[in-house]
Amino acid sequence: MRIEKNALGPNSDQLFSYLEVPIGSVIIGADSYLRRTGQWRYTRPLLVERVPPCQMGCPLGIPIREVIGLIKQKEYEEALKLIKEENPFPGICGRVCYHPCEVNCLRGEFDEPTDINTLERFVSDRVNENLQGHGKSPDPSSKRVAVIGGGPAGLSSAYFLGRMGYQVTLYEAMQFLGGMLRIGIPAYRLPRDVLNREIQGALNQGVKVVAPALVGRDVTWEVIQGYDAVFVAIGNHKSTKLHIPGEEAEGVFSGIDFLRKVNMGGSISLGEKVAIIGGGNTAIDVARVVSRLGSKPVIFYRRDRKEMPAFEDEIREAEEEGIPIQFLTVPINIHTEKGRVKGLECQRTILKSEGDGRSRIVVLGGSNFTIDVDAVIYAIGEEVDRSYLPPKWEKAGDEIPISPISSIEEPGFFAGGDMISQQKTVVHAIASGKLGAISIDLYLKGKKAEDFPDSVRIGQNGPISMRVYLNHQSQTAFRGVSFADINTAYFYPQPRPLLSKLRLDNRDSYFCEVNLGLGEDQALEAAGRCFHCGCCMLCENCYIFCPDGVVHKNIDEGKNVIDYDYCKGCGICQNECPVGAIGMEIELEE
Amino acid sequence: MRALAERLPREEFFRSGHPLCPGCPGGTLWRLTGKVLGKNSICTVSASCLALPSHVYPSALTTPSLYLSMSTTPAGITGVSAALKILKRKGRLKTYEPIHIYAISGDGSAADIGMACLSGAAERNDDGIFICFDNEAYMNTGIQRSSCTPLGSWTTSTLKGKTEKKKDLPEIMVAHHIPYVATASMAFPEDYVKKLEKARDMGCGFKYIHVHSPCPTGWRFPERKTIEVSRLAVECGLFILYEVIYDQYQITYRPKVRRPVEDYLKTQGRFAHLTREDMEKIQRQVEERWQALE
Amino acid sequence: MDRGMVTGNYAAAHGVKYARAEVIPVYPITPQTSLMEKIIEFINNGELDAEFVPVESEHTAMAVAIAAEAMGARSFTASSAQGLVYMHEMLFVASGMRLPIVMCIVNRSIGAPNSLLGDLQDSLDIRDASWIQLYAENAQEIMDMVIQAYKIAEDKRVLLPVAICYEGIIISHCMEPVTFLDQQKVDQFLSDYCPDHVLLDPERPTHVQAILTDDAYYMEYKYQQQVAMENAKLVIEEVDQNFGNIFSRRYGGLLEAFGTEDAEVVLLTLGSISSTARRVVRDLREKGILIGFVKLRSFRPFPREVLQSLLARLKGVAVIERDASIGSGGVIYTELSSALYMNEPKPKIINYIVGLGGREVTYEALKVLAEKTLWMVKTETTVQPIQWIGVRGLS
Repeated sequence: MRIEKNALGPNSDQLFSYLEVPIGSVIIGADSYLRRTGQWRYTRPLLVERVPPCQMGCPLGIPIREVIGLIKQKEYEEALKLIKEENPFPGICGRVCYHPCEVNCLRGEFDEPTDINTLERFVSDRVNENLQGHGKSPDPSSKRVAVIGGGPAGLSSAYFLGRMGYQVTLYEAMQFLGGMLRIGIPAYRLPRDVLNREIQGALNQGVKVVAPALVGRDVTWEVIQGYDAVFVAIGNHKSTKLHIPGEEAEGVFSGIDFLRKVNMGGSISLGEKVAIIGGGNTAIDVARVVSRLGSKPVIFYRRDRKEMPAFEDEIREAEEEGIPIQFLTVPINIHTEKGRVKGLECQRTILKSEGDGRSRIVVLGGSNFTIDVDAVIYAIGEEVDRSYLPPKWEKAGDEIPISPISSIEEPGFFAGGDMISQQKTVVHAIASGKLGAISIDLYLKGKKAEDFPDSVRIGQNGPISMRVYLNHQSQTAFRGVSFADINTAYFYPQPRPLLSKLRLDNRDSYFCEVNLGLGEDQALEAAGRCFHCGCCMLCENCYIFCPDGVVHKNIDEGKNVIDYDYCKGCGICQNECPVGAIGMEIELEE
Repeated sequence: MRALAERLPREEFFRSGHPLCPGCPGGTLWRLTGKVLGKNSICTVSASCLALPSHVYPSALTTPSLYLSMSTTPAGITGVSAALKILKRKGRLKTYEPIHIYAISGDGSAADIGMACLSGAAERNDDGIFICFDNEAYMNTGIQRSSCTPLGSWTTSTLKGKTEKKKDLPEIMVAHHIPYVATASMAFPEDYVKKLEKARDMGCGFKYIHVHSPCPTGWRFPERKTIEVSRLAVECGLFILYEVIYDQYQITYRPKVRRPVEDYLKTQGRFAHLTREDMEKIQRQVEERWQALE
Repeated sequence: MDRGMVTGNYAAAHGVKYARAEVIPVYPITPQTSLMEKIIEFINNGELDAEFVPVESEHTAMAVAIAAEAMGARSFTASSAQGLVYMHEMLFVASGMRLPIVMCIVNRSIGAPNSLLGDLQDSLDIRDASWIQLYAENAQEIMDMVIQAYKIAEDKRVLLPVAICYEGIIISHCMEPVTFLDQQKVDQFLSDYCPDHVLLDPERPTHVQAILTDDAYYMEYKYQQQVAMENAKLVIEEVDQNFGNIFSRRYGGLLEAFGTEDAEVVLLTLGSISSTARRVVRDLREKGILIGFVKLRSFRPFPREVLQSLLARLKGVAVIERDASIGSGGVIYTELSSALYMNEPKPKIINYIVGLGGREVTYEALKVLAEKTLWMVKTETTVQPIQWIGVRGLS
């Protein structure tokens, strides 16, 4: 009275005789695959890859999550290679960048941000790149590009253009390459050997250097116009003047001039007390250099600490080194004696908030005071030296008429770096060099750069990415990761590893590097803190928690896949995914 | 969780396509139980939500199962284990691999109608693992209160909130002096798997595991939050993860910082009517319970 | 051949021992307790290799029996009155799952009022549970029936649980001489339980007792039980025949009858009353009165066809039973009336409800009932069809 196959077929109104129904009210086997519970759902989970906020915030679009993933696996060479697809100078950025990535880092909303900046430096220092004699030679039939200016922007564009196979010739006015990296940033922040190593890495892409050569004097603009394309990045090396009486006296220096002299090995007699005017990174660097040279610096800044434009790390280091900062103070007069600086007269200010944006400075009349100083160094801003610009642009207004995207004024001429209107940081300079290289590549291939500005970005409006551009990757349709996507139940509070620094009494005229970086154990610990936002890290939470067991493993790719025939769309996987790599989509009626 | 996923076999003994509500922790429970106990296991189910995936055609369970009635689920363990003993002795069993006997029962079936049967099976120390799936009401018949419904909870038979306290079933089982009593929660699957493995490998005797199972349908919260609510119950101290091995207590998870019960209560619609005093009463109960257990 | 003196309960225990039952969950209740104790004794001294499970209620006892049987082990349990009613739910489960469990029902009156003495109300109360019910008259029959019961139940054409019913105290506690059996012969007659319809086997996973969410196949399952019951009629006769061949004792199959060929009136009884009734009929026949005797052995399946052919041309049937379905009549009377209704001609049937609560039914009382019936038939008087006999204050 019983037949081998399960007689209770999927259609319960099938005509079976009582003779065929298995006796004993038994269900044989497990045929639940016949019940397609996927039809129940009205939202469906999708395994997505979202752009993490660190990468979105990085002006270079470095795939930080993937880089840290490689560091976790001790694949330092692979990590460095990955970084260098977007950033030619990890060793430099890992020391001087103001790390907007860490500001965006979602770990920062949990306990402290991941040490992205220091990890970039660790990778660069760790991988022993043998750079000598490894330069490549470009194909002599490829197009020729001239780069004017050997600072970070120029070097960056030379690097990318060389990688793309162009013949690049770099013209630098000074004897050494580096621009502001060499003359502006002191060695205790950026050691010279690191700088040289990084520059060599860029030149190894087949870049020919002509230095010292000032275009317009040593080389004519006609020669430059003979190239197929030109990238101009001469930086802002002209200091903004104070415009107060006495600024021409002896003992008054501009910040950039002062730093250039010191960083190139020269010496300046300053005397004992030095007043430094300004609130930017240059002012801070000047003060710390002055301190190392044995004088006593005092910084005068006309706003308060909150509105000080220098990087927070820098201000803190200056305070650690005991450099006094007088806030809400503006200089009005430099007293001289026999043509030499004797004293500085200042007035106090207050700030009046103007809604959004920076406050308005109000000078308090009658609050004058004078202090004795032996030298005054002013660092209140830099601007481009127009005498170095191509002839057509010298007469232009304040704005340089070309941006990296389009060469409106002069076909084939592109510009970048501090000289154009953008944020004046090292990382933005490198980014503009990258954008310049992409623009030149588009221009030389006959395409209009205006047509493609967004397709080279990460995400909807993220940073420009060389990987996206070269691989023609389509943009992800999913929104970026936010803190709400992170399930913090799966992470444990863990502070950042303590970074070691040079002892205060060793910070002297030898200009030894202050930040000593991470050891390997610390680096692995730091990398372990990264959440891996927005991309599945195979934690298998979804597989374990799914009540319906619809999360399966694609063995070839090693990834998880969802069986939509049975997924009921409950959303537990999305809720328990620690990194927000699962999104729920409303199921549309077909 | 990856270590757990790699340790357990990937084979599913409780397949997809079952009719449990979306987000039901019973699915997770049975999947993990199947992976731990494997192919050679026989279970008894009680009349509860979990009887449906195995005993309504088509079945999702790949191992044999028995449904007796609502009150006699532990008798399944008794009968099957006695039969196994004698069949083995007489040489009438086809296989000599160990067969794990377990029962999956709801809280109503275990604590109310089946209390006598459960108590009897425990006292006889019958060989098997009894897993009580505590969703704190009679959910299968539409959310009626059971003795395991907590204080203040709305159900269709306690519309203004239950005025009696929850019956502490694990403690009742400890009083039977059985080899192993444990509590578990689906938000801590490694803990549950460890306990189940311990119960499995312990040898003969009656083992009891009480699994806290938030029900999105009955407790009124969105189904994606099932694991989150389970975790909150443990983190707020309302459900304590502990085990008792031969009358020796051991707490297996102590939340580092015990969150206020309000965090847990406000996630569920069934507690929406609670006042501040009610919550404080519940908070005090939690404090007392922890003190007693320590 | 071995002979000895045993009570009804002990005889049942011996039967269980011969049948080699494997899992025995029992809960004590008067008058069944000594049956249980004897089984425990057998297990303890090694005469019976079985697992005794000291359950905490009868409901659990039946559940354990079901679970063990589903696992493939032969199970046995026993109960009475309150206990039997307590396990009522599980009886349906056992028969619905088609598990060949054998249970001894030591009949006792169901309270309230609480009585420890025997009448057939409890086993007749479970008549809809789809169990085969066989009624025994004395200790020897009980012992033989336990063995026969397993043979009937485990027959592939039947596969239904069997209840062997006998009155508490009257049969269960009275010492009688019995002839013991040869275990080897029993083993030849009754082999191991090897199911292939319901078995919890990890190699071939099944889920026993399906839950039907629509009416899918419910009627088919029930019809299968009906067919099995019909088959049981045949199988009970067969088994009785085979048993008789091996052990030289027959009980007539579905019922035992004598003197029905020429009789006008028949006394129909079951259980312990049968012994007395048989004597009464024999004595009356010696005096020349045409009266017959039917002892109903199988109540479920109800032997409709046999009774129809046996009783149709009779003038009167006196159904004497120790039970009453209050609000209607005696159960056997009701069933017999419905079985004979369509016959032309059919006898007049009178229901004598006797002996409830273990009240003694004497030889004289039965003689009076026989004469009463004969008189009714001869004078063709209409009488009350349902009569309660022996009630104080009732004539």
